[in-house]
Amino acid sequence: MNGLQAAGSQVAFDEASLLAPDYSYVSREVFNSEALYRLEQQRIFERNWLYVAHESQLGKPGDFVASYMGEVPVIVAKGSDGKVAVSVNSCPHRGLRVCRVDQGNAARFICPYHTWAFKPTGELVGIPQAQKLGESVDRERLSLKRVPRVASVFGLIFASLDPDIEPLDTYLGDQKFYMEAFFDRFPGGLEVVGPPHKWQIKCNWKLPVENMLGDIGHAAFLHGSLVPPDSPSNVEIEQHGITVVPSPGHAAAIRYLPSDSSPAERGAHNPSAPPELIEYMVEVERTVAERLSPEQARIKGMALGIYPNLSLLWGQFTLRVSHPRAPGLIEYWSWWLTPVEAPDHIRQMLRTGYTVGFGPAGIIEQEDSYAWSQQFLGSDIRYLNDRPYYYGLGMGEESPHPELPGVSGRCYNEHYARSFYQRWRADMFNGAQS
Amino acid sequence: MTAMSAKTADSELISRIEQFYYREARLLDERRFQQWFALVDESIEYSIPTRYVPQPDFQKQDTEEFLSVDSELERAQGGRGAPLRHDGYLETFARTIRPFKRNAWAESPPPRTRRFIANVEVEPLAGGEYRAYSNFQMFYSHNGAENVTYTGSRRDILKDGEGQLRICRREVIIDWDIISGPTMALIF
Repeated sequence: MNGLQAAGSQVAFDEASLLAPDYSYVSREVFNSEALYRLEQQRIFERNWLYVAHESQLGKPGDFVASYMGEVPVIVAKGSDGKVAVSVNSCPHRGLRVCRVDQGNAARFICPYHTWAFKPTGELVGIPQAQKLGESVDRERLSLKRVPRVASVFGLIFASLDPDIEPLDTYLGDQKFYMEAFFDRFPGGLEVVGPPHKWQIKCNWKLPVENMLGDIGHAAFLHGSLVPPDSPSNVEIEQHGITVVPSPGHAAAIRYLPSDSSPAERGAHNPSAPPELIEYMVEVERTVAERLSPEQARIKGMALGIYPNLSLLWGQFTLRVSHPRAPGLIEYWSWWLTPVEAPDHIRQMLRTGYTVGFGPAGIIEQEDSYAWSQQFLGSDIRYLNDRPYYYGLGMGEESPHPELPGVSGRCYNEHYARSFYQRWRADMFNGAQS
Repeated sequence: MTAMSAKTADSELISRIEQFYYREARLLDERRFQQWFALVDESIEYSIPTRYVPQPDFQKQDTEEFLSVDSELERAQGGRGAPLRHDGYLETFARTIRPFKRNAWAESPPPRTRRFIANVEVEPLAGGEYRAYSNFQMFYSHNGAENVTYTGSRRDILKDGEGQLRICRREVIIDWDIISGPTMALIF
């Protein structure tokens, strides 16, 4: 089967009408089509590595978090053997969710309907009715369905519903260079503390992803009331900001500062932050060249995107996942990260830096949510299906970076998004056998 | 919520605090954010805990604690995770000044809001301070068809000085676990 018939739709899409061959135009239907959305659940969310939890959330056996892989509810738990298992949160008997909370530590999950019991890692423990009938049960068959692949890198736990997917290491490739530049920047590493922020946005799941892959230039416009175009931070973005694409779908939006830039320039992400916080950040910068590499030390990051739906905001210390719920609806999850070794007063300053601007109560983030939901309303204008969105800014300006892995484009070059849709198209239509 | 202390408020004090809340709501609904900001003490701690669904503690079954609302809150104080908001005076000021910029895109043109404050309970504290509990319901209308109702409770510390009540602390407990309105960057 090909195209959209796999999703049970009568409508056949002309693939060529969705995307220009050079990805300089993207159809509005890519965002609003119900049929494409259904197909995405199979061909994107069932076939890629998806972020499910942070290792610091699972300290001891029995610790678990409820998460999603696309629309599929999963439980991520640490077993008594210390290994992390991911299983689908649906009872094999009548389908109820057996884990009905967000996170915690449990010995068992009990299905409310008939009290079938499961370990947090999914293994069936008992069926009271079978016991009374004196029947033996196929424990393997009647456990929660195990997600076949789980792997971790830099403390981030990924899982895949595809048993045959390439190893996570290969999947990330050179993107690990940029991930390392952030996640290994802080001696002692980073941790997630407490529950994430979760909120609904009436937008398509791809737009927040695209925004954080490399739309570093939108700050002075959408957030102009807070980051004026002539502010030093925006001047720095226009001067040193680049987006680097190590492979289509993954990208890093960074300022690549000159080799003679100082730790003070590299560490001052928010010049209006309290002096002690700036001092802490600058102190970290002093040893990055030695601990990582001189090139990674020059990276003053802004955002990272891991295909298909994980994003990181570097200076705000937040990881986020865009969970699809409908063509025009997402559940956005945002975790605040903190350096393990940071003293409490530094943590609190970092936290304020995150909550004032970001999360559902952030004055910056509300503008992003607004723009993303307005984009969906625009995507829903059927009459404009002959007017696809323009993605051609900077076309051809991008080229392999002389010092960093990947193809690099200046601030405002939209190549990061063009390559995302190139990857999306390959997933959706190239040699896909359902 | 803790039980009322032996020290109870008289009806005049309750009425005064209720009037303060109504005035506050009117100023906010009329978008007079700077006039509202004048009611904020410089020591303000304005917080909104993150609300989530934790694994229940089965040891506490059959006790009040088993269903405690506090156990569902990731707070600024005591918590090491991120609340939805934890603002001081400067951050509160930033939130009240921003909507007046023409390029504050998410709020320009502004939403229409209507706040209802109810269930006011007052507990006098030492030093001319009061603890006050209240519930709120805020109707929010934006972009034509975007109509949402926010509900929750507030736990305040109000300070009485120079004949004027001021807000020293406000904790907003929202009723959603997954935030289902367009923004929480509002003043509740």
